[in-house]
Amino acid sequence: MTLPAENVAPQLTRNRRLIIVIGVVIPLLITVVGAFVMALWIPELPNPVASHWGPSGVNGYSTVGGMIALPLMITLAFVAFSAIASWRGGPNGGMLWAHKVMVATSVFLAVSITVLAAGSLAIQRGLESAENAPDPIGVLLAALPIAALMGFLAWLMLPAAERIQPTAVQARPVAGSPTERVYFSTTTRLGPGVVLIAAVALVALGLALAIQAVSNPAELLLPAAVGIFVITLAVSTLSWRITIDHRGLRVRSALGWPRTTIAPDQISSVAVVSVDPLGEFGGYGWRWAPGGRSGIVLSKGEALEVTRMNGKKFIVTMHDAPLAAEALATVAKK
Amino acid sequence: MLVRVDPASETPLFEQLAASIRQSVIDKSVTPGERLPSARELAGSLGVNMHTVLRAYQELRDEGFIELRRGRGAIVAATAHSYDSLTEGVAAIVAEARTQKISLAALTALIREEYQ
Repeated sequence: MTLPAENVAPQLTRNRRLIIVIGVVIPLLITVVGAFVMALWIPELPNPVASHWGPSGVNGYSTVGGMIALPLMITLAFVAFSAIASWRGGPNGGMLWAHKVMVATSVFLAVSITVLAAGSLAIQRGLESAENAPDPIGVLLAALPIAALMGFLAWLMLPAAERIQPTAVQARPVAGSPTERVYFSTTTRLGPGVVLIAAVALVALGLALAIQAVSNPAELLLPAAVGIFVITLAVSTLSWRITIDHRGLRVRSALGWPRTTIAPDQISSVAVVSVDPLGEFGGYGWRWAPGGRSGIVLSKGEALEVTRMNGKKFIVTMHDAPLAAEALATVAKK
Repeated sequence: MLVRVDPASETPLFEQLAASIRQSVIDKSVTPGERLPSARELAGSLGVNMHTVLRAYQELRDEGFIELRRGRGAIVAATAHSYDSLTEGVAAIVAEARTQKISLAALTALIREEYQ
């Protein structure tokens, strides 16, 4: 008996079709249809239209064309990014968890911003001037659940995520006498490429805050607080100090916070694993992944993996992971 | 950087410490300009006296491996020599000694005599 080979496209080909259809075509179709509908309303709309609302009503205006084009441009940029990022698939040709998140987010993003833009315009139809345009908070409250539902449906249409089973090399304590004491320390930092991208994003955030400070200082407090928190968190993630001694594993960011300690009696086993930050953790920094894995993920390659007594795993990427694993195994043994 | 000390060993603790850190510089697990842990931190981690760590640091400074700066602690010397060729040479000598069944004591005696 021969297998109907032509019906069984390789998994990667099938996944790429799904990425194109669900992650690119559907989001773009939604935004294009949205743009078309909005374009039909142009004769009834004031120009400029209201595009931003504050506590005391409309405080930002935009051209109709800008309101129509913005969802298209954002969606186009994001679907291109997520399609390229998930194109290669996982090591076994499957779709990784992070790839599924990106494809589903493409749908979520397209629906949410299209509904939001269209909704904000819909309530301005027939108005002489945009000055008294009603607050579109209802549109916002409607757009998010609809978009979340669509994103969830997209998620359901994607195949089960490929589980990366990292080949953990169990570490053994350093050979030596039982009275031996060890101390290990190293620093681990983000690679220059990721730092560059983060720097660009942070500069953009800083600029946005500066513009807000000039144009609308009254509403600066919350964005500024959030912005400064994000910037601080990002900077503190750049570089970490790792120390291992009789007190266990200590991980501390360059700014002193965030930090964490795993005491020797909490450690079940120590291993060296190979980590793919984007595929397994969906990014860089202090990360959480499915399967009870979390840790400091700053680079692709070797990492120290500590399995706690409760089965959860803590991971720190570093260049001298085998040495660290040996030291920690020595400490945990005692 | 991995530092190992064994309080039960006959070798003095400061010498064990110095040997461990020296090895880290030679095998480049610490790089020139990198700051070593403070004497207080290392002493606390290893359960040894702080003066023992300071003595090891002073020895390493005298050998040119590290620099001790007031307020900045111990820093791996930028002028630390490259030990690559020496490491290879030593490996060759040790391998030769092993095949000829020459003891470590005899080998070190030979090296000492040649060096002086």
